[in-house]
Amino acid sequence: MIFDDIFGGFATLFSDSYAIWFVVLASFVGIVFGALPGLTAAAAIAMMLPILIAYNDEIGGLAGLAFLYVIGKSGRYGGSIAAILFNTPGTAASAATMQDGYPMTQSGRPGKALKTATVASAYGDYFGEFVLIFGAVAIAAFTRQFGPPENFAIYLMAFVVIGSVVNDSVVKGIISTLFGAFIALIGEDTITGQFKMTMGIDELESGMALVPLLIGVFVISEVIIQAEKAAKTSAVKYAAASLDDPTSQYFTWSEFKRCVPLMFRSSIYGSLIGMMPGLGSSVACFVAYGEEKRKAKNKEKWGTGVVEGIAAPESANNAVSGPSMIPLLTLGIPGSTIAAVLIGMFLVNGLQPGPSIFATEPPLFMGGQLVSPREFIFGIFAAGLVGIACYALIGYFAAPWIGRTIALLPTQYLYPFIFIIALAASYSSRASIWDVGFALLFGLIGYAMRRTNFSAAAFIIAFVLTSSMEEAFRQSMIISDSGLMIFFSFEYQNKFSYAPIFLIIGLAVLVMRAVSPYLGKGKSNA
Amino acid sequence: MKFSKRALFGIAAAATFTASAAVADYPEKPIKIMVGFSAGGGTDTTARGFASYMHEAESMNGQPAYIVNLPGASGQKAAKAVLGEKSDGYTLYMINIGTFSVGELAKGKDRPYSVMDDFTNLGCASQLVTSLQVHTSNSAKSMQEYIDQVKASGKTVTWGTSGATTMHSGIGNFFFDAYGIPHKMVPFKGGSKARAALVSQSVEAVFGGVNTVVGFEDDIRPLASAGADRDPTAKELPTFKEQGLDGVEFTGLMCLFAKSDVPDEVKADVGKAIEQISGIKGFKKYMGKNDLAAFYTSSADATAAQAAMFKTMAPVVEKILANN
Repeated sequence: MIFDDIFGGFATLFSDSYAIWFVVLASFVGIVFGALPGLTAAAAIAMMLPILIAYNDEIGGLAGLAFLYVIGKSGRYGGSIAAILFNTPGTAASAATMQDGYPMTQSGRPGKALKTATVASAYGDYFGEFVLIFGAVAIAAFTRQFGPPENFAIYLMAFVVIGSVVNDSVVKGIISTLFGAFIALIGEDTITGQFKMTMGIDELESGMALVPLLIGVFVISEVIIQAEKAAKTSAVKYAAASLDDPTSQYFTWSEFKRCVPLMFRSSIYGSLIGMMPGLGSSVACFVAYGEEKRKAKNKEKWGTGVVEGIAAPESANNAVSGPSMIPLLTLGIPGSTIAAVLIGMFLVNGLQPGPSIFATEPPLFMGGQLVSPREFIFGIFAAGLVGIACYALIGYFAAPWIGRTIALLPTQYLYPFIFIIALAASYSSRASIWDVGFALLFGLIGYAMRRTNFSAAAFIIAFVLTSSMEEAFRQSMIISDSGLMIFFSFEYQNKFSYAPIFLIIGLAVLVMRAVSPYLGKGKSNA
Repeated sequence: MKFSKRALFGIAAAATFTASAAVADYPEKPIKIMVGFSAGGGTDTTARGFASYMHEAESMNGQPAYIVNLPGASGQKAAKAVLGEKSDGYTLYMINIGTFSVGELAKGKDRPYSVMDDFTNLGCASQLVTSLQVHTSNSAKSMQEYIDQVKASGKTVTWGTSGATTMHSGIGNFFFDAYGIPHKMVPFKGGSKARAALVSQSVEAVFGGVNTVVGFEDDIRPLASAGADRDPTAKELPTFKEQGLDGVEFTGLMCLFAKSDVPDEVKADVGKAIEQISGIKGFKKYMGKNDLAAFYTSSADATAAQAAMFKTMAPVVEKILANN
C-alpha cells in the first residue's frame, strides 16, 4: 500500500514538467546558500517564497513546494562546506562539524572532510526521509482523533521544549519564545474578529506577515553582522589554500564501514529530535557529536580531525529534515522554521496541513492535471528522495569548487546585493511598503537578539505557533464543562483524551533540563 | 507626467463626447477583478476561472479581465479598495454574498460600508451552500431525527464552524435557536479545521460548506443544506426548508459587485457577460473539478437574496456579538 504511494509519488513528480528541474535547481541553490557564511536555508527560503507564490500558477504547486523542501535539505548540507573550509558554520546546523572538519582542512585533507560530510549527510537524510514516509501516514491516522484540547497540550509541550532546550540559557530561550508569541498576537482576534494591537495600521489587521519577519531575522540581521565584520577586517582569510587537489582525497571504504554504526545511531538521534517541534538540526548535531565522542574509543583524537567527528553531526543534522515534517503533516504544527514557511506554500495550493492531508479526495488542479492530496504529498516525498541524490552528487564532486568560488566572492558586493534582494522579497510578498519597514525593523531586532544570545529560531517558531495555540485554547474552553480541567482529564465529549500525556512529556523535559543539564553538556563540547 | 499620443487622443475624445456616449463602448480596456482572499481559496478559484472566459462574452468587446488579490479582514480590505476606485466599471469585486453581508453585520457599529447601499450586485456565477453535518457514527439519518435525538438527550450541543461570524455560523445559530436546542458554538479558522474537529468527534455537529464533505464521506454525513432549492453538486441532500425550517432559503451566491453609482451600461454589459460565461462548457467543467457549481443568478434575484440574508442574519449576528 505505502509502496504504491511511493511509486505514485515518483509518477507525480516525473510527470510534472517543472517539478523535477526545480528539485535539481534547489539542490544547487541550497548548497550555495548553506555554504555562504551566515546565510541559511531558512534565509534562502524566505527570499524565494514570494517569487514562488507569485508564479505558483505557472510552475505548479508541486514544483514550488519541492523546491523549498529540497532547499531545506541541501542547505543543511551546504553549511558543512563553510564549516570545514572556513571554520565558520554556514548554518547553525553545522556548527559541530567545524570541530573535526576544520582541523582536517588545516592538516591538508579538506577533500576527505568534504566527502565524509557529503556521504554522512546523504545517509542521514535518506534515513530521516524514510522515517517520514513510513511514520507520517501511520501517525496521521492516529492524530486524526485529536481535538482542540490535545492540540493545545501539544503546543504547550512544544513551547516548553523550545523555550528550555533551544538555548544554553533557559531564561533567554523562554524570553525569545514569549517575544515571538507577543508579536503573533497582533491582528484580528480569531474568535471575536476584533483587532488587537494594530496601532491603527491597516497592514497589521491581518497580523504580522511571516515573510518580512523571516527576512528581517535571518537575512538582514546577517547582512548587518557581515557589514560589521567587513568594517573590522579588510579581508577575511580563509584556509582555502590547501584546496589545490582535493579530488585526490577520498572517504575510503574502510572509513565508511567504520562510520556506518555511528551514522545509524546519529540518524536515530536526528530523527527523534526532528520529530519534536522546535528542536532542530543545531541541537541534533551537538547531541550526536557529544554522544558519539563519549562512546568513542579514540576520544582524545576527536577535535583533531577524525572522520567520525564529521560523520556523526552531519548524519544527525540531515536526519532532522524529513522527520521535522511529521508534526506539520500530522498535526498542522510546524516543527522548524522551514516547515513554518512551507505552510504558506501548502495553503496557496489549497491544502491545509494536518492529519487529513493524506486524503485521496477532493482532487487538486495542478499544472494542468488532477492530483489527489495524497499523491501530491507523496510527490513531495519523492522530490526529497531525488533531491538528496542530487545534492550528494553535486556535493561529492563539486563541493571543493563551490567552496573555493565562495571564498573568492567579494563580500563587499555580495552582502549589499543580498540586502537589496531581501528588501525586494519582503515588498513583493504582499506588495506592501510597510512590510519592507517591518523587515528592516526585525533585521535590527534579529541583530540585537543574536548579539545578546537570544534565540531567533525560538522566536520565529513561537510566532508561528501562537495563534493556533490561542485558538486551540479558546476552543477547548468552549468545549469544556469544567474550565481548565479539560487539559488534565483523560476524557472530553465522551471520548478518550491524550492531552494529559503531552503535558506530562512537556513537564518531564523541563524537569530533565533543570535537574541534569544533559543537552547543555553536549553543547559545552563546542 | 508624460502622455502618449494615444492617451492624449483618448483624453481629447472623452472630453468631446458626452459621458453616456463614451461608456456605450464599455469596456475599452481590461477589467480588474479584486479578490479579498489569497490565491487558492474558493473565491479566488471562481474569480480566476471566471476571468479567463471574460473576453469570450459578447458584451465585453473581447476585453479580458485580470485578478488582483488583496487579502485582509475577511475581504473587507479589498472591498474598501474597490470603493476608493472610480465608478467607471473597470474595477469589480468578487465575493459571496454570505461573507460580504455577514462580514458587514459582524462589525456592528464599526461597519466600514453598506453592502446594500454602496455596492450593486451585477449577477452571480456560482455559490457556497451551508449544510448541517454530523459524524457518521451518529445514528441520525435526517435533520428531524437529529433534532429529536438531541432534544431527547437534554444536553447542550457543541458544534463547530469555520469562523465566529460567517454565513455558516449564522445559519447554525439560527437553526439551534429556531428549535430551542441549547448549544455552544466553537469557531475554527477555516472550513477544513472545523471538518477535522468533526472527524475527531471533538464537536458533535458542524455547519459548513457542502463542498467540504467531498472525500470525507466515510466520516461525515450531511443532513440538510441551505437554499431555496437543492444544491446541484449534492442533489440527494434535502434542504432545511424541505425538512420544515423556513428562513434559510439563501446561499452564499458568488457574485460580481461594482460601486453602486456605476453607469447602467456597465451593469447591463457585465450582467450579460456573467449570464453567458456561466453557461460556457469550459467554465462549468473547471468549476466542477473544484467541487463548485457554475450557474447564473440575475442581479435582481441576487439582490433579493441579499436582502433576505440581511433580514435573517441581522438579529443572529447581533446575538453572537453580544455573547462574545
